[in-house]
Amino acid sequence: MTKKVSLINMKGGVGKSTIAVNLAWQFARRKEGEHNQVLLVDLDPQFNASQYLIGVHRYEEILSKNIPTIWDVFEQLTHAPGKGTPKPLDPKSVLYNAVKYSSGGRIDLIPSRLELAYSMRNPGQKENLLAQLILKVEDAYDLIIFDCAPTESVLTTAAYLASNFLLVPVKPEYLSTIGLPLLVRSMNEFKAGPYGNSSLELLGVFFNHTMNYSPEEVKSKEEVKQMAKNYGWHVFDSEVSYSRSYPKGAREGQPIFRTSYARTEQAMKFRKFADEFAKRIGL
Amino acid sequence: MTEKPELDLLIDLAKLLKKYGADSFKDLAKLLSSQTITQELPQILTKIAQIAGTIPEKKQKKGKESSSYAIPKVLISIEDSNPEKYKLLKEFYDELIAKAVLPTLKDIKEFLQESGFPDIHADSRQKAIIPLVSFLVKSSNKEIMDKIQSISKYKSGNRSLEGWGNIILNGKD
Repeated sequence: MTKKVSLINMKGGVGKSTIAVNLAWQFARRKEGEHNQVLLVDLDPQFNASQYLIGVHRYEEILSKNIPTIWDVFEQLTHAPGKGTPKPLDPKSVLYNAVKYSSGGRIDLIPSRLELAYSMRNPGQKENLLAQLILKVEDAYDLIIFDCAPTESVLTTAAYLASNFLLVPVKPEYLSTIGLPLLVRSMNEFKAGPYGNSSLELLGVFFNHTMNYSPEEVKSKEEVKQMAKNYGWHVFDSEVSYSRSYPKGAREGQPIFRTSYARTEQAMKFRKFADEFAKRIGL
Repeated sequence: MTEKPELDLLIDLAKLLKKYGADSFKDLAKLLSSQTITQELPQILTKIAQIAGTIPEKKQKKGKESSSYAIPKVLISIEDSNPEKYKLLKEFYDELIAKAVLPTLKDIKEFLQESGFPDIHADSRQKAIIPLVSFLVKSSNKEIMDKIQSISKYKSGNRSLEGWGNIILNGKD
C-alpha cells in the first residue's frame, strides 16, 4: 500500500523542502523491489522542492512545453471565457520524471509554480482535487511525499485529504517550536470538520537543523519533548543536524549522500533518520 | 592465485602489512577475536564496503537488456578490448541515465559544442545520449577524463539565482 506523507509545519524555514527532496532521493536510490518508486508533490507556491530537484533548465522546459503543474491540478475545473466546459486533467500528464536510476528507482515530481499563490485567492471547492488525482496514480508509487507551504490555506486541507501521515520537522528554537502546536490544532480542526473520517495520523516530530550545544536548542528540545509526551505525539530518536552540505546540495542539485563535503558523517546521519522514517511508515 | 580463496585473501592481507604496520594488524586481530564479530564478519564487511562505496554495482549481463536500462552497443564493443575506457564511459553513461549529469537536452548540446563535437539532431535528451557516448568512445582515455571533469559546471544544469530570477520575474528565460 502506498504511503502518503505530508511534510508540514506552520513555521517557515524549518527545512521541509530540503528534507522532502532528500527523503525522496534516499528511497529512490534503493535497489529494485525495495520500495524505490517515489512521487514528490510540491505544494508550496515558493516551489523550493522543484528548484532543488530539477534546476533552471528543466523547470524552463516544464513552462515552455506547458507541462502541467500543481497549479493545473487545482485549476483544472475552473471556467474560463470561451473555453467551454473544463476538461479534467489527465492524471499522468502532471507527473514529471525528475530522477531515474538504473535499478529502476525513480522520483517523479508534480512541480509547483508561483501562480499557485494567486490560485489560492479563489479557493472554492478545490481542496479535494489533489486527493482525487493522487488516488488515480498512487498505485505506481511506494511513497508519495507532499512538501507543504507553511501557512494554513486550502493547500493545507488538500494535503490532509491526500495524505495518510503528517511528518513535522521542528527546528529547535523558540519561535519554530510554536509552529508545532499551531500545526496540531490545524490537524485537529480538520479532523473535527466535514472530513472527520480521515485516516490522517501524526507520524511524528523530528528535530532538524540541530547543533547540540546551545542552551536555546537544549531548552527547545526539552519543551517539545514534554509537549509531545503530554499529547502522545511520537518524537523521532534520530535528528538531522545542521550542515553546510544541505544548502550546498541544493545549489548543486545533489542529495546529501552525494554532496562533496558530506559523503560520510552527514550522509550517515540522514540515512539513520530516513531508516527510522521508513520503519515508522512500514517501508 | 591458489585453489583456496581464503589463502588468496590471506596473501592480500599480507600485502597490506607494509601499508598499515604490524600494530594495526594486532589491534584488528584483537577486535576480530570477539565471537559475535567473527560470526557477523561477512555482513559487517559488506555493510562497511557499501557505505565506503567500494562495492561496484552488479555488472549488467551482456545481451540481457532490461526494458528500462540497457548498455549501449557502442560501449559493449569496447568492454574487452579497452576495459579502462569501458569503465570510464559506463560510469558516465549511468550518471546520464540517472540525470545526475547534463540533465537537459540543452545541457548536452552545450557540452557537445564546448567539447568540439559536431551538433546532433536529437529532439529529446534520451535520443541524444547514445550519440554523445559514441563521440566520447572515439576519444582517448585522457581526453574522456578531461571532458568528464569539465562537466562539473553542467553537472546539475543551471541553478543560478539569475536563472531563477528570469523565471520568477519574467515568466521564462
